[in-house]
Amino acid sequence: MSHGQPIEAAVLGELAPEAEGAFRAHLETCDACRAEYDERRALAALLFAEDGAPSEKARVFAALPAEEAGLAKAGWWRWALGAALAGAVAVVAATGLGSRPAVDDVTLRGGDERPRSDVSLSVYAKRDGEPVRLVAEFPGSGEGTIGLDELVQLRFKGPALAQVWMVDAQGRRARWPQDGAVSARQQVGPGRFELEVRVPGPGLTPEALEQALASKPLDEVLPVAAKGVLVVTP
Amino acid sequence: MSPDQDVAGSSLAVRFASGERAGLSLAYDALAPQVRRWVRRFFQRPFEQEEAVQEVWLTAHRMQRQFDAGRAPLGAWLRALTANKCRELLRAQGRRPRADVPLDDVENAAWLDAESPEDSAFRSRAAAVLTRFIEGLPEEEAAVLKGALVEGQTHEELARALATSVRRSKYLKLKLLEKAARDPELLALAREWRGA
Repeated sequence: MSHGQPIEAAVLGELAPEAEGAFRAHLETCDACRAEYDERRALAALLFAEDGAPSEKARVFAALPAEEAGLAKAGWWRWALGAALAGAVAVVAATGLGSRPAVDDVTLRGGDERPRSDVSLSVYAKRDGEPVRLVAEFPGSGEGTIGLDELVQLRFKGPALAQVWMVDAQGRRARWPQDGAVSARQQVGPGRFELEVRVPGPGLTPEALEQALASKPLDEVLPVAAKGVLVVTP
Repeated sequence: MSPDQDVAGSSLAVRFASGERAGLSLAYDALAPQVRRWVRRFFQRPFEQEEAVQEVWLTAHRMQRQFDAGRAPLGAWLRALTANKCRELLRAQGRRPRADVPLDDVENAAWLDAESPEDSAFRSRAAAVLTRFIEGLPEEEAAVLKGALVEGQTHEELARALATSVRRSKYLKLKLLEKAARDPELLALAREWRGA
């Protein structure tokens, strides 16, 4: 890494995101460049009353789990979450509305098309003042509806770092929130999407998993262990 | 926004608690300056501060759904999270917090909102050095510096004010930075201020 202009450009937020990522990785290991960067940043803060690095927000958001960032830009995350939660969600079969998927679509199956006994997925819903109810279960009956006034939560059994993902008809993917029930009073759109239970390889820590997700393809880090189909009706 | 203002019931707090990326973005826009200020109480060097700020927001993202908008203002929650994260980062590096950092947090790290004694003492000295530096600049560069420093103008605003291009305003900023780096007094001030 040469001194001079690249450091000035980084300080002023003029580097392209990829170049900035490489530059910051270099700063982690190069004391001389880091010292020069610190000096220039301090000067820039003095001269231009810059409170933070100009590229701070972009860098912070780029470091969030990559899959969500992409989906958020596409607007899919918001749609999918709302669609899954706010509409009448029929697992496998839409009750009276929409098409009825083939029974095979319902079955949770491994990435190699064989069922995985160590993974299961349940959909719960709750109205104010009422107890939590089980709406659908994969594998199992796999059918149910959720109203707009309900909270909904997915729960899955399996390895600790397993994640549930949704995929819409266009192949866009979003991760289901890990914790807590989500209000159904969000903007919705009808549609049919797959639920995937993705399980990472053994030995990964949560931190290592996040790092891997930021830099490697999803299928490589988190292969599909099981999946089913949800149909969201108006 | 003061972190203790009543934002608990505001749409910002509610959107943040929803876990949405947009909610995090709104919280960032409202509270990023405070987070930077809090982080500066733990880390002096700019690069360390920037890395710590990023860690704070990543942690905030992971914990979005744990924030209860009915229990605490978002700012106070984020302030406590910042203090905890910074201590954790220092511990991971085998370092201790600076001397003015309390050992224990009370009232959600409210001490972080008090101005650092170093910052207040530094400000008056910095003003004198900057004034001298600006007086020695050509007119166009002085205008850029005053616009950025005093009025907080963006490149676009600077370009409009100077009737020039954004590209030139960026170039002038770069030139100013290089010139400042050759000014011994200013450089010493910067080094002292941020441990650079």
